[in-house]
Amino acid sequence: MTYQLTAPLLDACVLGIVRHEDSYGYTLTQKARQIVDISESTLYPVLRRLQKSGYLTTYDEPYQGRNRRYYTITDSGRNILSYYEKEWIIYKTKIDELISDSETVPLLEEGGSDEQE
Amino acid sequence: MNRNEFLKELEKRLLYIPTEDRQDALEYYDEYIKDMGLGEEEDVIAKLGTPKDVARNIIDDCTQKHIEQTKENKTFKGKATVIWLSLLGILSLPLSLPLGIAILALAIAFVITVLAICFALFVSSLACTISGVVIFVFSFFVPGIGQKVLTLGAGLALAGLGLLLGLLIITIVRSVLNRIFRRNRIAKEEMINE
Repeated sequence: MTYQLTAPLLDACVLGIVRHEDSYGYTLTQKARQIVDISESTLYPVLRRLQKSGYLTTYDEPYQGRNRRYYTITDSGRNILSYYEKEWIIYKTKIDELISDSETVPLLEEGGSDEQE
Repeated sequence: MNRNEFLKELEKRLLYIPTEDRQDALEYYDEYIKDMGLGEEEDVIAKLGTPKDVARNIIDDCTQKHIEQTKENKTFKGKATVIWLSLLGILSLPLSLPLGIAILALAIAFVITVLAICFALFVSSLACTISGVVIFVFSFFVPGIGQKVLTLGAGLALAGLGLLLGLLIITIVRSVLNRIFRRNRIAKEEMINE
């Protein structure tokens, strides 16, 4: 993958996956890996962080004589996710404007960057 | 390396982080490997990476977490944990940990030795100066002009030597301190500029 994933974007991706259905560590990782280039051990710290911030909670469900830990999104998780979503759309639109082929290149504000050095 | 070996190795590498964090990580990876659907004896490293990499990931995150906690409530224990975890992050492997502690101890011993030498020299210079002054005063009460001149000269010489020695040590210590602090300041400025 050409573009790097930053921590908030990774948080947003995980929350986005869990928004639709509760998942456990392995499927979560596999779902994320279908789209973004991360290693198998990337998500553990992310999940811990989101859990600690109160965006995710967990519950255990028995599966084949052992427990599986499911992650589920909380209300504050949904809030932060909608914030991330808005931020992402703004960012994406700006980047699109910059790199797209169209003529509507945004003008720099007066006294902008050409004063540097 | 099969699941059991992997988990054992991981536990060894996480031995020095808080128990709760270690337990949670081990449970997660135990479950994770079982969900990978491999046989009991199958290799997990090819997919999951080495225990070393996984452990580093966990320790880094753990350090970050404790730094944030310490910012909120500044306890001595919290700070100590952060320092301890940072040290772990640097060393990363349990094998090199005792070695690292030894090197650290050696460095501390070195610093203490240098400080002790400085202190000793300073005390000797002080002693020289004081005894020089005492001998100088004493010379007034010695009988005979020859003895008077001898003790007077000796007293002055000793006091002078002591003062010179003291001055020398103070200059050296100050220049060393200056250099250390200036370097710190430059490093800080660089950090701000970045």
